[in-house]
Amino acid sequence: MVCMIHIVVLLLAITTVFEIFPLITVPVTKYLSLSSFRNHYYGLFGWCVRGKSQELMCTKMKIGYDSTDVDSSGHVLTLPSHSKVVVSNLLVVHPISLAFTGTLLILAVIIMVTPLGDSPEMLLFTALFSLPTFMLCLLCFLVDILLFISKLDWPGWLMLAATISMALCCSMLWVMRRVVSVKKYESQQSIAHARSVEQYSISDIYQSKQTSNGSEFEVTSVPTDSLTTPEITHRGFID
Amino acid sequence: MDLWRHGTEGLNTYKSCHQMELGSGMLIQLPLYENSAVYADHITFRSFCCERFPVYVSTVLRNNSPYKYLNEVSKDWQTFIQVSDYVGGSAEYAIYALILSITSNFVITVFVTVICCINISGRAYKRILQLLRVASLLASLNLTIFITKVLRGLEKEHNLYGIVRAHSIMHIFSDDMTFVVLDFLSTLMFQFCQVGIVIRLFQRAQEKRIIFFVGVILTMTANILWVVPPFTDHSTRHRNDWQILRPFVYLFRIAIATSYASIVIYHIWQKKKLWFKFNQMGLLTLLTVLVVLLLPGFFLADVSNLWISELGEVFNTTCYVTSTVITWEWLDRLNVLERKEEAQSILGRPIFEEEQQDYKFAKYALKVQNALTRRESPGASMDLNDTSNNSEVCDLQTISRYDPEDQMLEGRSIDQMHFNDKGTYRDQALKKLSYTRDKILYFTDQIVQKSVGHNNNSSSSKSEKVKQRKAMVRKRLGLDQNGVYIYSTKEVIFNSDQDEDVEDEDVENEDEKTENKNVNDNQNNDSTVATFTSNNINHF
Repeated sequence: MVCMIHIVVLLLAITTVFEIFPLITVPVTKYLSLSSFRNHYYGLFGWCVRGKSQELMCTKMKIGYDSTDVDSSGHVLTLPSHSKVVVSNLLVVHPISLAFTGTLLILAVIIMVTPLGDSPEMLLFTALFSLPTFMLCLLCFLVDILLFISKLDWPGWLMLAATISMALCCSMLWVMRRVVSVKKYESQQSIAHARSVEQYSISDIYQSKQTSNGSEFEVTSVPTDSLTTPEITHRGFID
Repeated sequence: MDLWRHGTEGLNTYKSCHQMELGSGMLIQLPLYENSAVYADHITFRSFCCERFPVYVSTVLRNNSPYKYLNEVSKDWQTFIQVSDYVGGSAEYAIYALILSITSNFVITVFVTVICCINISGRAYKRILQLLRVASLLASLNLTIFITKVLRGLEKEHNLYGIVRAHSIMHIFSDDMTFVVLDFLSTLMFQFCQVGIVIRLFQRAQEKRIIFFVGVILTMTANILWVVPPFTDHSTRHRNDWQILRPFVYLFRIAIATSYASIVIYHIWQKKKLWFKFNQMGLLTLLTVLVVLLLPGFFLADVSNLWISELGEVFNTTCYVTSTVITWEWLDRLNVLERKEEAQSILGRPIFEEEQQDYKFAKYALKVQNALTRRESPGASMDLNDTSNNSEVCDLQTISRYDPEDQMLEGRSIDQMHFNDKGTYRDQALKKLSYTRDKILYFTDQIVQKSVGHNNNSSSSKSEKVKQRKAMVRKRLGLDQNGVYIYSTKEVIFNSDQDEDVEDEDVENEDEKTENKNVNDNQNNDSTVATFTSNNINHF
């Protein structure tokens, strides 16, 4: 259980980092791009073209490209998949997905460091929250593929890794919910049984069995005060 | 059409479709006078075109042929064959390939529908199975109408213009309202069936509820958004926003299909021990993996322009039919294998903590006890005045009506005066909320768990009386509900215990003799139960 939540937090941290890369592509930075195609570099907030002087000329920063944008050579913007330019507005799912992943990471950290991790309700909420997060992550990858097909650069392909990682996190959160639910049920049962049932040590019973000469039914009169070895103590109903 | 791609019409202009000035110098033979011709000094020529696209004869004109196309027409031909969309002349959009793919779609869909209606039994999840059958029939009907329309359209075009175009077929996908509406309805039903399949994959009640809620919400959202764009006014200033809605929903559908494929494949991986337990199981598993990946696969093929664009649209219905029906069949066979394994094992089916929490098993045990202690005749069991049995056996209804809050109310001190206080507003609101939640959960359970049927084919030879009696016993034991089975009892001998007990055998012999009578009595009771179960296991 402890290991699992650590793995979930680690995977979510990696996923968050993976999802940050598309946000810092051109024109925010000059070295990263979601896709490059015929000297054009596409980013989340715009696109750039490398001129004859090897200088990068970029559009204004905004989500989605404008069909009226023209490059330095006067060509109208075309996408590698020949999609409609207006479809590039769907790139808005990237920041939304990052926000969801960040929130999920915070929830996972809360589960890890606070006693809320033992609450099935909290885990159920987190697991439910992971479903739209996974869907958004998958949508990010699909949008990238739709716009740039196989011309994706490595920040684009990182979204595939982020989607797989998110799927793993999602599965692990649901498994954790099951584990916590079982644990809660077992603890409730053990509390209920501990109230009504006295506890006996098997070793003490064997010892008294060996020392006593009479029948085995006399063993039941062992005092409970001396039974202090919890690891070999069993609980159960006695009819 | 053109959900996300640029429209292709109007991109290429063909000069041969416009009037061309050929000049003078041509002799034209007059049709009625064999040996006379007319000298034409000003000739204009226009190639035969259909909707701005040139039409060419399928006859190959070789180089040594005395007849040749005009230069402009030949030039347009070179342009025409290089356009790789459905209005172009590339081999991908050849009419033969399209007709072959559409008719194979039709054959596959009808074949799967026949399997769904005949072969798949209604043992479990009867209502979802009914929905699946209706959806399959609707899809088959839709494709039948579609094929008929396509063939009639092609015949008409051929008779009128002497041409056969793939262009007209592809337009039916988006323009024909009958096809669009029936396709939408069948897809919606198939998506609900897929939610049902995912529900079947999980065994815990709470998870079933969550899947039901999430699945229904996702399906409804995707389909509502899918039908919105065609009915909106695209000339408004929010035109761009409406334009991105269709591709978004398209991607959303692909995301749902991918999630469905991931869940099914994960479940298949979990059951890898059962892949080769049955002759056809390995093959069916492979087929299931392939069909659930069809829709995401076609999306990838579509964006990478592997074959025709909008490939997913052409194969959409077939993808949904196969990915639902074949997965259902696979699950049915898997269930049979699992039940066999559970019946042979010591522990039977797994029990989850959720089932224990509401004293479900205690209630079930009381129900079984109630059923066994009652007389088996239907008249006696229905007799409400017969209080002799009811007084001995705890009534289930009293347990189900048991409410801890009532006990709390009863436990109030009689010395204090209690007014009919309504409580604070917060308590009232919480009460209302919990009541609403309970109602929603109740209806969810009704849909998820109560939609169960049983196969009547196995007992067709039995008389009606036996059937009714069996059904009554099944109902009493709760076997009409999903996830309740009776297994034959199995004797388990631990050798180590025997070895250990050898030393104490002499001491215990005397005790055994005294207890023998009780054991025999218990065995007699057990044997009646065992006989009862072994008789029933063959039929359930």
